[in-house]
Amino acid sequence: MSLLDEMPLDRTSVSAQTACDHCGQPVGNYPIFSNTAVFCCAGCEIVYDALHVSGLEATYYKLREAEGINNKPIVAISEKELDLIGLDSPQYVERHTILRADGNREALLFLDGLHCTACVWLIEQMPKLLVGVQEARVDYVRNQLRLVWDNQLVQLSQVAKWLAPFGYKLQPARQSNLKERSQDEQRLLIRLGISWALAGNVMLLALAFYSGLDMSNQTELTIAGRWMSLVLATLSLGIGGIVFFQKALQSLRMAWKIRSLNRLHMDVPISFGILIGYFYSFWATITHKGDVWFDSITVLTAALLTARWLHLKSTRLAMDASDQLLTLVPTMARKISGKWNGDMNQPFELVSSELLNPGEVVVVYAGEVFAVDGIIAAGETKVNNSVITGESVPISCAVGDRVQAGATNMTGVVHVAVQATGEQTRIGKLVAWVREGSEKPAEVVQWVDRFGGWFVLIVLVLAVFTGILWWDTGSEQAMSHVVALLVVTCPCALGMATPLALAIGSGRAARAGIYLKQTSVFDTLDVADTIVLDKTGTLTAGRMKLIDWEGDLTAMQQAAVLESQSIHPIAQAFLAAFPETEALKRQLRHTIKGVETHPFGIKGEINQSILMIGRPDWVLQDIIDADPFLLEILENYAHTGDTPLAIACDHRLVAVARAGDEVRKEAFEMIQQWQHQQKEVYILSGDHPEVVIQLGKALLISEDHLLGHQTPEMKQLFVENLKALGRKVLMLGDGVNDAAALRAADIGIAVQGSSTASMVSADVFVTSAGLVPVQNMLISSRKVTYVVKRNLTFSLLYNLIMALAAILGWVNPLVAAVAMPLSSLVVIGSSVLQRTFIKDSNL
Amino acid sequence: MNILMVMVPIAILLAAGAVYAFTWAIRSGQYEDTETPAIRMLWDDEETNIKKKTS
Repeated sequence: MSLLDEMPLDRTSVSAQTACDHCGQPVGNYPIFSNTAVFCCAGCEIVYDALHVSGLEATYYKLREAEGINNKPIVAISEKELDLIGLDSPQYVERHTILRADGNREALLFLDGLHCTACVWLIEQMPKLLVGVQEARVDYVRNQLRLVWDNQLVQLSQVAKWLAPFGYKLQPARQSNLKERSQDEQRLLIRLGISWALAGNVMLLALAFYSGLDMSNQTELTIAGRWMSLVLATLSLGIGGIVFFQKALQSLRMAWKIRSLNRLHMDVPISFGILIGYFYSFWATITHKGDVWFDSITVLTAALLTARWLHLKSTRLAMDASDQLLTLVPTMARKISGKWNGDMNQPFELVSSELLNPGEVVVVYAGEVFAVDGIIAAGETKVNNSVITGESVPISCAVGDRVQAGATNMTGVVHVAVQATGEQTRIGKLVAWVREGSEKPAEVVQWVDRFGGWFVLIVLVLAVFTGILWWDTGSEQAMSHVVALLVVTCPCALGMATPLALAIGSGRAARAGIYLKQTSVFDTLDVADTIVLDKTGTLTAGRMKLIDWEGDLTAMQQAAVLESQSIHPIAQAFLAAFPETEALKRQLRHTIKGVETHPFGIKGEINQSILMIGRPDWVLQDIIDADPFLLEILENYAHTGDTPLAIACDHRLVAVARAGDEVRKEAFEMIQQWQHQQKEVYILSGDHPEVVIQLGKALLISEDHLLGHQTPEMKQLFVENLKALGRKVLMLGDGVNDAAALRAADIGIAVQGSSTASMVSADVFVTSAGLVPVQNMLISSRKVTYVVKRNLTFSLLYNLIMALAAILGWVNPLVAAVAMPLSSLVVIGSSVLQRTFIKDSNL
Repeated sequence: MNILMVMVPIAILLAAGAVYAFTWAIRSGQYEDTETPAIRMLWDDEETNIKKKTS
């Protein structure tokens, strides 16, 4: 800490423009002073104090500055907002944390509020600051914290309370899912690594054969080399190849059961090729006759595993994200012990919320989150459903009313009769639905998989054909050509072509802040021909702005000063339009008198004149003298769909203005592009039709595509009707009122700031505001689909040419050793090098 | 040729060691998060005047 920081603050040097010592924003008119610093709000002060008390502030602010995101400060979370129910209970600790060999506890926890690298640093200082915490490791990408602590010295609730002032909310996760997925990935990674190591060694040995070892008279060495390859290849198949064999066997059984060739997975021909190659080489090694293919099959196995691992990694990210949604529901609940008798003071016990049965009664205190879906049995309260519906106004609930898991109990103590728990709750079902979606493969992947059966059939027919063709040259020669065909046509490039391109595409998308729930979105995005947009928040910024004004500047500035007394959205529009307001206000502070806010405007005395700002009809009734020029403009404003405003000074109309929710600046260009590409663009809004029509006209959308006064049901119906007409609909929205329509559309895209409901019902979630990411996604998904097609064409062509070569007898192990890995590499390269989801593309 | 009798076991031993190290690295989560460590290494090891809170 420098000496400068220690100096007491000179209060007279602080103006409204002084930067807040925490967040860097101007402190405004009501700064909060501490001895050494000044803040814009109490929240900033809490964070600053917490940092200061821990001695972390110097490094934290330095790191944050280095990242250049001064505009995104952390906001403290009050302890009331924390849901700590049962976090320290032995049941919770036993069930959801792991006891390590050294006696410490370990758990993976979700953290809400991580937004920069300084956050990572701050949280990882915890072991130095909190006695009992041994280790804190943050996974920045997954929003996870791995915590090791001594349960005797510190408890989870203390950790949560320590984190809260810095703005991080600890969300206890159910460990099982996370652990399981991470272990699945680890196991595959081990197989993958070992397979590559084995493949590398086999290739080295093979190099000796190709360079002429088996032609020389070093027969002993040749035999040793072959046996060595055999051992290594056996290991490779046992460790890596087994993954495909199991899957192939599964699909063979399935196909046999329903007698359908379509059910044969692509893994069947892959396993088939690998095994034929292996056993033929095995036989060749024992009998010292014929070729060995060990190098080809081991490299193939490793390459295929790579594709599979990349795919697993990308789906795991999506699954973990959906698990974070589940942490909204508490893991513990207070269950009434014994039979419920309606007495509010009945004793209770802490139990895991998943172990509750319907009919049992739980107690929920004010400030807690409901752990179950149920009906209030006693008590009354206000409930905030914003997590589920996005509606932030709390609703009153009394006996007999339904409450849902994930909602917050705001005011009173209630008894809730359990109806559903865990996955059966509404929020649980939503999460399950999301998960289901992420498991559903894209159509093109399904197509490739269904192709597996036909592939086997074609290859077998070709093999028989080759055998007959070469029969004259002797059975041994014919056999080797048949094996060459079977090995070389192993459809590994084909098997990797689609999943790899899609997995890499969705991974890139996630980095660009676009989360795809399932890769099948790519197919649909490419063919979408109708785009339905929600207005507020999607097409517009969702904030009032002064779009236009005419008249006396001084009057407008004074109006802004007067408006700064109000919190109305229009007032915000004035303040944004006149940044000098704060300075002016200090000058005129003593001349402001008798400010009244009316439903239609604001009135007050400033600089010895009476100013009125508000709805034209309200202001005009008080006017003696009105400039016809201004009146005409006012008339024009009224037809724009925006909110017209009149400003009067001493009963004289001096200025007129128009405030509106400004359309995002990229909207015009985007919509032109879409319409140019023959995509139909519709705007649906709950607003007045006139507003929608004016806005749509400015964007050059034809009038019959602009609909106002839309209820959620109407929006859904509209989308469904479009679909019934055979259109592929892409819906873009943010509010709860869009959720049903998002779900109904072929692709629903939820934009930043969406309610949980619409996020969950959408197929795509975009974390940045505006239409640019949407355009990015449309362009990129075309590229991804193109890459998929390119990969498929290439691999099919490869198989065709190699099959032909094998029939003609041109394929020997050397050709295969070059061609097969090369084909896989081409597909991997083609997938990795896709230029999709570039962050700063010039759109 | 006799040298092979020495070299092959040594090679196998080395390979086994590598496999063990690799398995250990994965199981202990070295490949779990490949992004955060990149951020972490940028911090200076300067001593902040951290005050330990004894709760």
